[in-house]
Parts: sequence; C-alpha cells; structure tokens
Amino acid sequence: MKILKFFNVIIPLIFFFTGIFSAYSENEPTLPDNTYCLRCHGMKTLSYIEESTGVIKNLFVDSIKFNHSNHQKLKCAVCHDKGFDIYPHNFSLETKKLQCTKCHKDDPKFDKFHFNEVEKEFYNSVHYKNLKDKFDCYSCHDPHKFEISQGNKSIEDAIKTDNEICLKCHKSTLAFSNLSDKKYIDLEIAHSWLPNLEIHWKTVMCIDCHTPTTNDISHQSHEIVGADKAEKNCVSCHSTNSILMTKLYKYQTKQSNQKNGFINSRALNEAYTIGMTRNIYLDKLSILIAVLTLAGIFIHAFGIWIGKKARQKNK
Amino acid sequence: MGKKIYIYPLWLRIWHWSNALAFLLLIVSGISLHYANINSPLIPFNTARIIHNITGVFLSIIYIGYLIGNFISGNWRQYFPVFKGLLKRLIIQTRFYIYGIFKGEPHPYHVSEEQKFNPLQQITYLSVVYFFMILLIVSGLFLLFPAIAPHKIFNMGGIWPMAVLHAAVAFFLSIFMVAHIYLATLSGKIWWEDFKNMVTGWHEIEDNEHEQDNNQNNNK
Repeated sequence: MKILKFFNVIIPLIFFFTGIFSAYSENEPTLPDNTYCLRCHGMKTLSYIEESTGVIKNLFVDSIKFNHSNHQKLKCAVCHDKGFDIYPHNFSLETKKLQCTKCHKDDPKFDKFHFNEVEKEFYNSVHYKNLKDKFDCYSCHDPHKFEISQGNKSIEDAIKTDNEICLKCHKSTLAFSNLSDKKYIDLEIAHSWLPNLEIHWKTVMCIDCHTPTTNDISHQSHEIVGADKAEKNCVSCHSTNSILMTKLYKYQTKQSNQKNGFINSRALNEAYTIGMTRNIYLDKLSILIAVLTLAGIFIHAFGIWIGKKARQKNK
Repeated sequence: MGKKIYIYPLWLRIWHWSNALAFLLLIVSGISLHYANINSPLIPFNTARIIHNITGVFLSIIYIGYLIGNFISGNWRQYFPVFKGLLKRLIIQTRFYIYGIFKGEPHPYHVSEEQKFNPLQQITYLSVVYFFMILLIVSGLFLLFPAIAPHKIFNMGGIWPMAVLHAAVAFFLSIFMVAHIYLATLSGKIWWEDFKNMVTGWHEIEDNEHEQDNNQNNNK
C-alpha cells in the first residue's frame, strides 16, 4: 500500500515537471511578467539624467495606456530583451536602439500597414535627413501607448491627437532645442500666411500639408517635409485635388456611423470641405447662364406685355 | 365657363409641392455651402450643412414615392412623347414661345386628360425627372455615403467628380425651376391659373379650346 501511495504522488509530479521543462525548452524562454517590470516602471517619478545631454529621461510606463495599446499582449522583454530581466540593468543596454521594423517589416501579417514603404519614407523625411539617429520611430510613436486609429474618434479629436505628436517638439523650445541646433520658429509666425489659422489647425492634420501629396492613400506617408516643400496651394484641398478629401470623407463616415448612429450620421455629416463642389469654369459658366436666363425671361415677359398693349391699342 | 377636368391627383400634388419646397431649401442651403463665406454667410455653414443633408434625404424618399405613384397610376405615360411627328410638334411649340405668344396667338396644344403636357414640356420633364433628378440624387447619395463612392475616377479621388457633378446638375435643375415657374405663369388666362390648378387638381378648359383641338385633329 505504501508503494502504491508513493507512485500516486511521484508519477503526477514527474508529469508535472516534465511538462514544465518541455514547454520551457521547446518554445520561447519564459519571460518575466509585465507586473515584474512595472513594479519600478509603473512609478511616475522613475527617471534619470542623461549624462551627455543633461536631459531628464522619464522611464515611467503608464500601465493603463499600455493595456489599451496595440502592444498590450506583448511582454516587456519581447522588445527589451537580453539583459533587461536582470536588475539593475546593464547601463549599456539602456542606450540600445530598438527598431519597430525589426518586428513589423517583412511579416505578411503587417502587410496592410505598408511598413516597407513607411521605412523608405522615413529615411526621406526632413526629420531623418536633419537629425539622423537622434530621430527614430519612437520620437513620434510611443510604443507603450501606440494605438492605431480605429476611426472611432471624432474628426476633431483624431486631428488633435495626431497634431499633438508634432506639437510635442514644435511647440516647445526646450524639446526642439534638445533635438535640433536650428533656430526655433514660432508656429503661428511660420503659418501666418494661412487664412483662418485656428480653423485650419482644428480641422487639418499637420501631416496633411507636411507630406507630399500623392494619389496613394493606402497608408499615411511618413515622408515629412519641411516648410519649403509643404503644401501651400489652397486648391489642393479646396477643390481640385480630391485625394485629401476622399481620405477625410471615408474616415469621417466610419467614425460618424459609430458615434451618431446611421441616420444621425447622414444628417450631421460633417466632412464637407468648403469649395469641394467648386470649379472655376463651372462657376463662371453657371453665373453666365443664370444671368442670361433671367435676362431672357425679362425680355420675354416684356415682349408679351408690349404685344398685349399693342393689341389693346389696335382694338 | 368651360368644362373642368381633374388632371393632377392628390398624391401628385403633394409630391409636386413637397418637391418644390425641398428644392427651394436645397438651393438656398446649397448656395450657402458652395459659396461658403465665414464673414457673410447666406445661411451659417453648419446650419446649411444640416438643412442640405436632411432635405436631400427627404427629396430622395419622396422621389421614390413619386416613381411608385407614377408607375401605379400610369402617369408615367404622360412624359413619353409619340416619336411620329415629334420634331414638327416641337417646332410648332417653340415658334409659339418665341413668336406667336407676342402676337396673342392661342396655345398650339391644349391640356387634356390624355395629354397634360405640350411637346416641349414632355421632352424637358422627361429629361429632368428621369435623368437629371436621378443624377442629382445618386451623386448626392455618394457624398452622403462616401464609403461606396468609387475609390478613384480618372486617377482622381472618387469624391470630387461626384461633388462637381452634383453641383452642375443642381445648377441646371435650378435654372429649370426658374424657367418652369415663369412658363407656368404663361399657360393660363391669368398668370396664377396654373398655380391654382396645381393646388386644386382641376384644370378648366375653355369652349374655344375644344373647337381648336377638334380643328387640329381634323387637319392631322
């Protein structure tokens, strides 16, 4: 009986441990749970001063935002691999550059995001050309918060969120000077040529004008251009080139259906771009036809009146 | 006092005046959107946008009702002219509008239960109701449901050609409306007679109209 009891205990234990070891050895190595990392990185004040620049680097990761981000299912150590699981981390690891495209490029699962094109565009962008390695994907996209647009925000909110990425550096002299040696230019002065500036900032994304206008709307171009090459032609949006309007309209429908319901979305459709129905030739022609029609009616009515008078006189 | 004939049934009159009201609202709000100006708006942009969207959907729904009513009642036949001798009838009607009307000549074609429209009206209404109205509604619906609009037309985004088409057709129909109202003032003895007919549904035929029609039929 004692031998039986022994086997009753030892055999399940053997299965249990062999199961663990085989799982450990066959697949990925067991990575530490995110809560382990967030014990320190979940503290808002966790930061250090970068010796070379003197800038305070905050190492806080907002677990709520992370759990809503596209990377929510990833363990920290998937990206922060080799050595980050040991505390204290080796300092040399902390300066190691991570690349989005390491995971996202050449994977058919991510084809729809066009990462190959995005990478090429990034290398042609004014940011990379001027700042080289000081600027990378993470300068704009925080991987701990990044959430791809689901079209569930109002247009104004979506534009605001997107523009805040640019304004993080372009509206802060400190953040700007940390990255660039160029002279900081106030945005209002730089955009003083633009009529109704406030309305444009609320309804247009910076990148709508600061990327080359192409017919490809499959993805958002990452070839950010400077003021010299940015779109300054009003009619690119307000009339002739409908690519921007097409993008805006299709986004708007998706979000509006979700927010307002189908019927209200039709009534409150807010994506009309002033001038989209306009065409200089049609406008001139329509005014000419309208004037001719009214003149024709007036002359015709006058003719009838004259005829009537003449007939009455003859009688 | 002549004979009265009932030529505009209730459903047709309801559609006609609802359509007229919707058109007026669409024209005013459409002009406000087309020539949008923040400093001096005809109607404020956001109000015009909502009026235009709601009225546009209303116009589309009553147009479908009109098509159904037309089909059931057989009213659709009024719009399709007999091709034999059509050119001659068109010339006669045009001559009347550009010459005979000034001389006080009688209308060459009179209203009857079988034929409410003169040849020019037939051709114009046929193209307006069965072609331009459809173009206007379809292009408008593409702007309201942009996701179903063509992605690209001639390498341009699909929305803009729809918007320009919508504006061009709307302009043409606005001109039609002005001409339609003017010509309606000419068709009766008094300028408002045809407007009254469109309210009551009844059209009064003068005795001499019977005689003229009989003479015309004998001369054919």
